[in-house]
Amino acid sequence: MATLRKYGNFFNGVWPLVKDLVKEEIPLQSKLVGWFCTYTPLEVIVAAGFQPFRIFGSSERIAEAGVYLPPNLCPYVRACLGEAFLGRFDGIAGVVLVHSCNAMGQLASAWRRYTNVPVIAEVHIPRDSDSKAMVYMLSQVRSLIRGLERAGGTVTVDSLLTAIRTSWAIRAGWNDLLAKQRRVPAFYSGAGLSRLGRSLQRAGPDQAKALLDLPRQTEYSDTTTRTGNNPRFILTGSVVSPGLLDLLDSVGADVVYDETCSCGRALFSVCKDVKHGVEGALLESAFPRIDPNCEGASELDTLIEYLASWYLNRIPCARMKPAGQRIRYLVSLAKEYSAQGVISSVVKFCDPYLYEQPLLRQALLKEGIPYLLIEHEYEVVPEGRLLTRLEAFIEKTWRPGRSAI
Amino acid sequence: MAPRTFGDLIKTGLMGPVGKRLLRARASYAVARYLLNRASGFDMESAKLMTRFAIDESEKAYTGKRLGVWTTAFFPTELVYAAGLTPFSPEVSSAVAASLGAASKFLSAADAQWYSTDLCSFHRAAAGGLIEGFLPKPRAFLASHHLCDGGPFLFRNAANVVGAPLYVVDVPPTAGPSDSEAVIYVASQLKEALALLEHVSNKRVTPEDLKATVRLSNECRHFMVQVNELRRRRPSPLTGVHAFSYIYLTFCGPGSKGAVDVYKALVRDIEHRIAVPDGERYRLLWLHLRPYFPNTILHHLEKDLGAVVAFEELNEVYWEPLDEDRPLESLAAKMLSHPGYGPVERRIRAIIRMVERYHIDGVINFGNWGCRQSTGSAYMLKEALREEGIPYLVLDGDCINGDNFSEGQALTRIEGFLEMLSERAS
Ligand code: SF4
Ligand code: SF4
Repeated sequence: MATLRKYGNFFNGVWPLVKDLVKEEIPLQSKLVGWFCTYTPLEVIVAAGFQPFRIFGSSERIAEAGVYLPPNLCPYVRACLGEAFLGRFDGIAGVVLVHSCNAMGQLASAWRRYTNVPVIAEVHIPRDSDSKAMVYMLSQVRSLIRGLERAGGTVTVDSLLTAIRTSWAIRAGWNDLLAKQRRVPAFYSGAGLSRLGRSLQRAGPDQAKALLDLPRQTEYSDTTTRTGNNPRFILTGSVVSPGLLDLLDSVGADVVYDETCSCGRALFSVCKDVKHGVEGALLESAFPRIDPNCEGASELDTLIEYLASWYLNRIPCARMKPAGQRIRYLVSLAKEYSAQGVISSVVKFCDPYLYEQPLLRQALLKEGIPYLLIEHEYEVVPEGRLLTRLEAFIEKTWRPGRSAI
Repeated sequence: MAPRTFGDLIKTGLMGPVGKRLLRARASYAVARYLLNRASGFDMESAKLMTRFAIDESEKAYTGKRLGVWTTAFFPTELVYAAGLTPFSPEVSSAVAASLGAASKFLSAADAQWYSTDLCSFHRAAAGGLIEGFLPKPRAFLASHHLCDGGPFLFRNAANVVGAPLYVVDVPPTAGPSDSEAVIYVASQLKEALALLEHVSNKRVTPEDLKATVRLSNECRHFMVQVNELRRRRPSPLTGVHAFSYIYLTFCGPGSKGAVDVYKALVRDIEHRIAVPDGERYRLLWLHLRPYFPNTILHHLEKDLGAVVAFEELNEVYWEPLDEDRPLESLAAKMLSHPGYGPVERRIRAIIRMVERYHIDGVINFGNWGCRQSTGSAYMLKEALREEGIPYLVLDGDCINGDNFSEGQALTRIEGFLEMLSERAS
């Protein structure tokens, strides 16, 4: 099991293409709006005429960021500040800061004080989805729109409707890819799919469509070496760099669903009309009003309400009030994707996901689902101890021919 | 009997093999009150009153004399008192456990239940204390996200263990007390929290009940303002060694008669102490909390080095008086006005104000390892205060876990800092 395995699937061939596509799609720098948290209502940014792109951070100048943010604060936020110091965001329209957790709040302050990258809006996403939270969320989406307008954008009924439909098309396309991961063996390598997921978060609408088409076009020429015997895992947790996915791939673990903040959580959908995806089924009954095409919406307020409702009602992440729903979701994902275990990847000092551990472990244990927590400094390096832990976990969870949960 | 002996007796009893049972026995509290009444070593009436208040409230929480609920620091306890319930602060209990030398036992229990050692030790110790059966099981958990995420997350887990209801108030960090949408949002959550408290106590809270606790809270605030006004004097009439313990009341006291009595007595105490001999060389502002496990830092600072903690950030009265006719809205405004929450500029402004108001020579920020709130902004404060020419020292450590703190190193850094202050003065 410990032997290194190349991911000899289509992503090997097309990864350079993906990179080119993402590079090509960079439009006018002044049209870019950076975002950090998956609760940022991206459709509003697109509707205002900007291109949202996810800031993943860079460890290159993390030491400089450490002058302002202490070492016992989330390394992801420190990496984001570090990336700003690299000058990569010079000339962009700005960023949207969301106070999702204490660390993001500190980043917001540091960003305003120590970078010259403009802040389009600084918003708070409520932690619940009831009517009070909804009213407050509406005020926050409106505040974001005002910020975008100050930066020269305009949000109209048509532009928002188009942005919402495009975003649903992208989410549906992502779901199509995921559907193939339920097969045994999994169709794509976890590392490859996660990289594609990351690229989607930095792509404009046209590039996103092209990105989603890449695997579709090449699926029959797939020369995968994976076998039905590879252990299958759900990857959850906070943000993660591709290094961990590569590492998992290299030790023969198939990540069949990357639910982390860096990938799945930014792309999944909860719409009842999306055929694929357990998340749709889970939430359908609770949120019957959600219509991905927003048919009949003729007013901006209706669309804003739709968006606010969607963001608050999606599968909650660990910062949100209800913990049970997210944990049930993970259990159902593990079953749906015939996974042999769940791996949590949590950056150090990430309170929302670290506090979740006792509850999550307990729930998975009850279901007989093996679980592994990997705490890391965001940029995962394949050092010996981590490799040994991964291999031991795979040993524990996987036997040739052993059926999934 | 000297207070040291009083403390030692409590410590021996609680940490002994029957400690858990003693905590739940009413007789223990009767004995504690008896010993307290006979204790002659308290040099301040208010300290004795506060100890009495703590004994009474602990008795209610542990023995079921009155139904208890857990509240995070800064949750508005006015609502709890209005419902006739007792608030219990797990953060305070962690500080007490640390001072009794019991924190490591609790921390190990939390480690075994997958609480990462990088989480705030106030919360880890509370989780461990609950697991070990040292903390009272409440009827409900009431949390608020200001100031930190740790409290609500801990309560979420604890509510699961205990099987009691949980209410979490989401406080927008981006808004202030003048943001009407935020005030309505928070106030509407407080209304729901109150409904849960009514359900737990099986008592309808009338507007008069709320008015009464809000009035007490305002009275308490009134005396706190007086205390703080007196603390502007030189030499400082109340030093950190004493003043830190009153922070307990800002967590559990608002809305209670007990807190009013303590602060009223504290005003008298300070007025009598105004003429304390002047050994004061430097006046310090202390940010965040202090280490609670046995250590000599404050004592050494104030007694040996003449560096008096003239004021503590957490003793500042940052909120406006509450409006008896709009209790929920004004409590919401209080929550939204906490300077330690939201954009760092609020905290910077508050610190600069305190530096001026209390004639501060230097600022010490005690960095609790797992704290993303206070420690999270420690370096930004450094930059901002440097620009203002205010000397500032970050003292890395841990408030609860003595193993995570090197006293020797801290003392060396403090001495270096004081030398720098002395050079500046000359
Ligand atoms: S990784 Fe964790 S601590 Fe960091 S921004 Fe995300 S939720 Fe917050
Ligand atoms: S020390 Fe920090 S993290 Fe811990 S309870 Fe206090 S504010 Fe929260």
